[in-house]
Amino acid sequence: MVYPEVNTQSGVPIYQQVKNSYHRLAALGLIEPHEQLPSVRQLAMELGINPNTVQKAYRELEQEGLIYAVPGRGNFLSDSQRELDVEYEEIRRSFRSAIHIAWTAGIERTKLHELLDDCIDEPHLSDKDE
Amino acid sequence: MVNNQVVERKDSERPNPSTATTTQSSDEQEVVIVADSLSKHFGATKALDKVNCKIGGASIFGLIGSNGAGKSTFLRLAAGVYKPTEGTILYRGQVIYDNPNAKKEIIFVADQPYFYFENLKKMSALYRSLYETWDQELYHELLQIFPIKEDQRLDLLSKGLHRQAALILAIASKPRLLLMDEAFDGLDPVMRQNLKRILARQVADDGMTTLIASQNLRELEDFCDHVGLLHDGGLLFVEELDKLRLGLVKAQVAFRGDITEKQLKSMGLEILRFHARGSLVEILSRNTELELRTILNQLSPLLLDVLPLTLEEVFIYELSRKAYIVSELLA
Repeated sequence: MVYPEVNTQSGVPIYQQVKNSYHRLAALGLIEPHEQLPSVRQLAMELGINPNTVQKAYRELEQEGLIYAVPGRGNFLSDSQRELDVEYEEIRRSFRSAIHIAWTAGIERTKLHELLDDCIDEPHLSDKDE
Repeated sequence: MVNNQVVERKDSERPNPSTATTTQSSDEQEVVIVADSLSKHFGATKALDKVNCKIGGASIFGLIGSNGAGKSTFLRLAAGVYKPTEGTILYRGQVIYDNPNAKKEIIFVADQPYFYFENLKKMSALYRSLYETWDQELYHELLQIFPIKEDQRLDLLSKGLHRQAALILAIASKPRLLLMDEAFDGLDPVMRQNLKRILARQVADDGMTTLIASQNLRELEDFCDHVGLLHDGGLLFVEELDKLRLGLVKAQVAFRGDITEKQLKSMGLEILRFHARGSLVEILSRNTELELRTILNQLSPLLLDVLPLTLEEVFIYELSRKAYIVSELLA
């Protein structure tokens, strides 16, 4: 079973980190559609976090359609592709501000592509804690 | 997770894997502690003055306050050790003081616990006879986690270990309401993580309600779902932890030219703090992240990073609105 990653020092609310992590795991294909997620109890114990926090993350993920709950059996990953418009827009904005910096510094297009590839290959591709 | 001393137990015996879910959703409505105009005076000292609050079932509630704020007094009232001077405090609708029915479900771990017997072996036998919910298997699991031997003399232990011995006894008794005074303070990271796992299991399995008092917000912010802030005997606010951060956002921005605070305010940002170092500006504002990004992007910033907000910052701004001095709490 795949567990999400949580960093209690990052300052990002833990339920948010659990949610982000599941979105990432699903996007990367590390969890398959209809695969079961750890129970609230398992996850809370494994990570040493508040079960109410896990509960809240699961409830919101269900509302967002990333997971579905089967009463008495647990939570599973949905197979419907989520709309990623919000994320695309967010990424575009970040790219734009990076491009802006690059232009100001006279960095060329090919170097920018290189930098992007470097970033993708960095080992710690986590939320906002860099 | 590196340390796996807290093993999954009895999962096969659990009737239904979603127990946690069901217990919790039904418990969410249930209120375990209700304080109504609760006051405790010692002579002329008002240790606690007209406190109102509700604590929900299965909640992990953090009570923050400096020395003398009234945390321990509140816990002792909730444990039925003290009788309120005025007002009431109820546990599941019942008065707690002098009520054995309520008290058998509540355990209080004081910051300086007192033991009747000289070692855990004898103390555990006492607790086993007092609490029918006592879990011997859990007790042995806890002995593995904390560095205390069953036959070690308790009166020779350090203050920190004293508290840990009391925690072992309290947790193994499986109370429905666990009250802890400064329980996390002074634990090393591994013990802390193990303690959190055990508490998490008890919240998930039994819907245990937990009330933890601490002077240090950082000890609690990664584990509580609600926090209450006590100051000078009064409860300043109670809030869901995640809600505290909502509607408050911190960002680092850089613009090509100079941008003033006034300019940003006129564009709709509700700025609480504006700090410029050269062309780099740090902004704290009472907006959502989306609002902030939308507004700042109109100015084509060279850099726009939204930064995580610490709870300390949130507290400072919540309290500055009420004009209290909080620096002592955040030391």
